[in-house]
Amino acid sequence: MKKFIALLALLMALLTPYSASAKKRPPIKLQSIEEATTQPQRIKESEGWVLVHIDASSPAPSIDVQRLIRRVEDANTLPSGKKIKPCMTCLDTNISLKNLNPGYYVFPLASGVYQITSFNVPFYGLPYIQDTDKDRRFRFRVRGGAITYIGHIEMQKERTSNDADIAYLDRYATAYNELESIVNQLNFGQPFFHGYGTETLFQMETIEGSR
Amino acid sequence: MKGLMYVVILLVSFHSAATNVASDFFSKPDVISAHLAPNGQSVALITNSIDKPLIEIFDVESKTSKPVFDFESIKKNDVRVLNATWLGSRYLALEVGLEVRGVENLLDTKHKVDYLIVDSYATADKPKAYGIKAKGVIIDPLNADDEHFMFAKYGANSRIYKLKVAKLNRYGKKFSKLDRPDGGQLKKKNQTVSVEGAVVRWFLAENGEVDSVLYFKRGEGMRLAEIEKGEVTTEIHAWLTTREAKDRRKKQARKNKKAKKRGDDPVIDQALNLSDITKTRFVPVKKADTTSRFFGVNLESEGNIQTIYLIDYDKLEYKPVYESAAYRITDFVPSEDGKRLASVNLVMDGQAFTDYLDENGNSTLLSSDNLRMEVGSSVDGKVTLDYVENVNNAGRYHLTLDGKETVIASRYPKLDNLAKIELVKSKIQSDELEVEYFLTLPESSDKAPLVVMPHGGPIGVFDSHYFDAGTRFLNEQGYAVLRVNYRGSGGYSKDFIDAGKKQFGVGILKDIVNATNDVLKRDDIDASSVCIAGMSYGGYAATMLTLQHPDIFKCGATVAGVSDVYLTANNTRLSNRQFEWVKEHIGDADTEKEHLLSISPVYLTENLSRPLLVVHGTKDKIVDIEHAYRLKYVLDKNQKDYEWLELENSGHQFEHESDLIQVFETLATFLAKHL
Repeated sequence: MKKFIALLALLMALLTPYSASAKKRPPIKLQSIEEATTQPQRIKESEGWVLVHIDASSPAPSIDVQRLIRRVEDANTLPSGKKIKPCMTCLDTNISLKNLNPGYYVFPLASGVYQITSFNVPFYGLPYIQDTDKDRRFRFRVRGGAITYIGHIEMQKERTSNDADIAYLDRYATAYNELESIVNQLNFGQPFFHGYGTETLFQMETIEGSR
Repeated sequence: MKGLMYVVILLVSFHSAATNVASDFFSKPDVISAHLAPNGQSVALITNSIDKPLIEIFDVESKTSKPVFDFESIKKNDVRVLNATWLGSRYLALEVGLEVRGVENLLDTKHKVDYLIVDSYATADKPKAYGIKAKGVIIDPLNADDEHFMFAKYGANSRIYKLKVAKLNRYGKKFSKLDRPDGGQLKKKNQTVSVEGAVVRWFLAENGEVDSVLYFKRGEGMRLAEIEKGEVTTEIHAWLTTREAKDRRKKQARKNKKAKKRGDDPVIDQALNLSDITKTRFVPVKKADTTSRFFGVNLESEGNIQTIYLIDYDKLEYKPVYESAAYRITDFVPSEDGKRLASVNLVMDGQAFTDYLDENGNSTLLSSDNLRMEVGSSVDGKVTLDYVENVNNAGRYHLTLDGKETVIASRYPKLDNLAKIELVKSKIQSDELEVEYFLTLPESSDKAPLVVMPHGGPIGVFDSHYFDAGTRFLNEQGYAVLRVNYRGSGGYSKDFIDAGKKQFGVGILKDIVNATNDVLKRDDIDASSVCIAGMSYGGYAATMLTLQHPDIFKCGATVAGVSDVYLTANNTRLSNRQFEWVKEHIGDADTEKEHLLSISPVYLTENLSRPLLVVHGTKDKIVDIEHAYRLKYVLDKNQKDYEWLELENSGHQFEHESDLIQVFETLATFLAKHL
C-alpha cells in the first residue's frame, strides 16, 4: 500500500508541471466593437463571442480565466453552489486589459463555464493579485455560436500597496439598451445571451419569461 | 405708503425666516465641534469655512468670537480636524488628518495625522501654530499648566517627556540647519518615564501619573505592567508568543484527546483563550477598578459587532459589557469607581454621539427626549459646556456659567427658528417582540398625511428620535413622519438585533406594517394619505410594502434601494467575511435561492398598483445601480407608473450636498403629487 502511495505521489509530481493550472494560453487580445465590426474574425464552431464592458485604468491590468466545464447546458442544470470540477485539460487563459479605453469589447472563447481565477493589477514593479479561483461569484458562461454578455469588469488605477478597487458586476439591465444596439451593430447573425454567473436568473425570470 | 412697504418687507422677511428649503437641512454643519478651556474662560469652535476648517475662540466673558487659525494658511489638501484638546488655557492641540498623495496613482500614504498646537491668543491674520515632529501622542495636557504638556514618544524604547509649547518648532515652517526638532526638548532632562520596549498604550492614575503600561518587549512579546517612579515594576500579564501558544495548543489537544477517551469534558486553557495573541487578542484600553482589571477590546474582528469587554488578567476572565452592531465605538469612559462603563462615544453617519449607560450597563441613548452631552467643564466646575439636540433642535452648544445657560453656537444656524413639533414615542407588539416607533407630527394639522420612513441597514442600524434632517424636512412640508426601529435594529439588545436575522423580507416588513397600522388609528393622521419612502434597505422596504399593501400605501419611494435580494446575496464587492455575514443575516444564495427570489421586488412587480419613485447614484458601491435598472426594466415591461432619478457620480450616501438636496426635493415633489 505504501509503495502504491509513493508511486502515486511520484506520478502526480511528474504530471504537475503539465497540469492545466501550470500552463497558460497566449494572452487573448480584445477587440473594440468598431474593430470587430470593420474586421470581422472567423471563429470555430465550438467557440462563441464574449461581450464584456471594461473599465480598467491601471497600468497593466489583466485577468486569468479557467474553463471549468465544456458544455454550458450542463451549467444550467447545476444547482447553485454545487462544486464544479475544473476541466483538467483546459489551459488557463490570460486576458490582458492593458491600454483599453472604458467601453465594450469582444473576443472569441470556447463554449463552457469559466472561472475568473485572478485579477492582476500591477503598479509597475509592485504586483497586486486578487485570487478568486475558489469563489463561485466570479464565474461566467460562454455559448458556442452565440454572443454572450459576461458583465462589467472594473479595475481602478488608484490603489494602495496592498489593496485595489476591483469589481466584477452584472450590469445586464443597466446596459440592456446599449447591448441590444451593440449586438445589432456587430451583425454576426448569432443569438445573444446573458452569461454572467452560472445561471441567467434575471433574464430567465423577466426578459425571457421562462419561469 | 412707507408704512405699507414696511409691512410688506416684514411679511417677506417673516416668511423667509419661517420656511426652510432643502439646502438648509442637507448642507454641511457650520460648527463641527466645541471645546471648553480648563479655566472656563474660552471655548474653541471648530467651524466649516468654505472647504477647510477654521478655528474660532469664543470668549466667555465678552461673548464674542474671533478667528485664530485658518487652515487655508497651511496649504494642504483635504484637512480634517479629528480631535482637539486644550493644553492648559492658552494652547489648543489639534489632531489634524491630512491627505498626502502617494506617487502617481499609488495612494499609499493617503492619511497622515499631525499635531498642530494653536495659540489662542493670536489672531487669524497673524496665526501662531506649533507642530510636533516626533511620532507620539499627547498623554496628559497638564490642565493646570498653560506652558507644558506630557508627550509620549513612540519607538523601540518609549519615553514620556514634559514639553514646553513655546519651544516647539512653528508648524509648516522650513527647518534651517540650526533648528533642532521639537526645540531639542526630547532629552533626558525632560524625561519622566522610560520603558525598554515599544509602548502601545499608557494608563494614567487619577493624579495624571502613568501607573501601568502595555508594551512589546523585544524577544518576549507583549506585556502589561505596573509603573512606579517612572520605571516598569510588576508585570500584570504576559501574552504568549507564537511559539508558546503553539506548544500550549498542542498540549491542550493531547489532553482533550485523552479526556474524550475517558468521556470527560474537554479542557479549556484560559491562558490560550485570553492571551494567545495569534488567535484572540484581548487588549486593555482603559483601567477598571483594580490593578489587574481593564476595559478592553478584542482586536480579532467579530464581523459587524464591536464589543467592549471587562478583562481580568489575574483570573484570565473576560465578559462583554457593551456592544454596538453598526456604529463605530471611538472611545469610552469608565465610571468613577471603575466598576462599570459610564459612557461610550459612537460615530453615527459621521456625527459623534455619547451613549450614557445606566447602573446596569444599559444604553440610555433612546430613553430621553433630549440628547444632552457634557462636552467639557472647567477645572473648578463653575463652567460647563453641553451639546443639546432634540426633534426641534438641530444641535447647539450650551454654556452654563453660574447656573445661567446660554447658547453659544449652532451646528445649523439656518434651522434655529424651526417651529416646535410634537414627537410621539410608542411601542407595539409584533410577533412577541416589542417594537418602538417614533412619530413626528407637523406644526399645525388636524389630519396630517403620513410618510413612513424605514431606516437602512437593516441589521444593527437604528433611528434615534433626536434631530433627523430628512424627517424634519418632510415635517416642514406638512407630513407626519413615522420611523420604526423594527427587529434587527441596534440600540436595544443583542437579542433584538439577532431577531432580525433572515427577516429581510418577512418579519421586518411585518413590524413596519404593524407600526403603521397602529399610527393610522390616530385621529390626527389621515389614513387615506400614506406613502412610504426609504434609503438603502428602507428603499427595499418601501418597494415591497407598496407592492404588498396598496390598501395602506398610496405611493412608494426607493432611494439607493435593493430590488433584487438574490443579486445582493451574490454581490462580488463583498469580502469573504462580509459574504459570510450576508449568508447569515440575509440569506444564502446557494441554499435559499427560492426564498431570496420570493422577497425580491423585481420578480413581483406585476402586482404593483401604486406609483413608485426610483432614485439611485451611478457610483453606488453598496447597492449597485443594477438594482435600480432591473426595477426600471420590469416597471417598463409591466407598464407601471413610476418616476426615475439617476444621479451621475453619486454614491450610496449621496455624498455631494447638491445630490442629497436634489433627492429630497424630488421626493417632496413626488409626495406632493400623490398625497
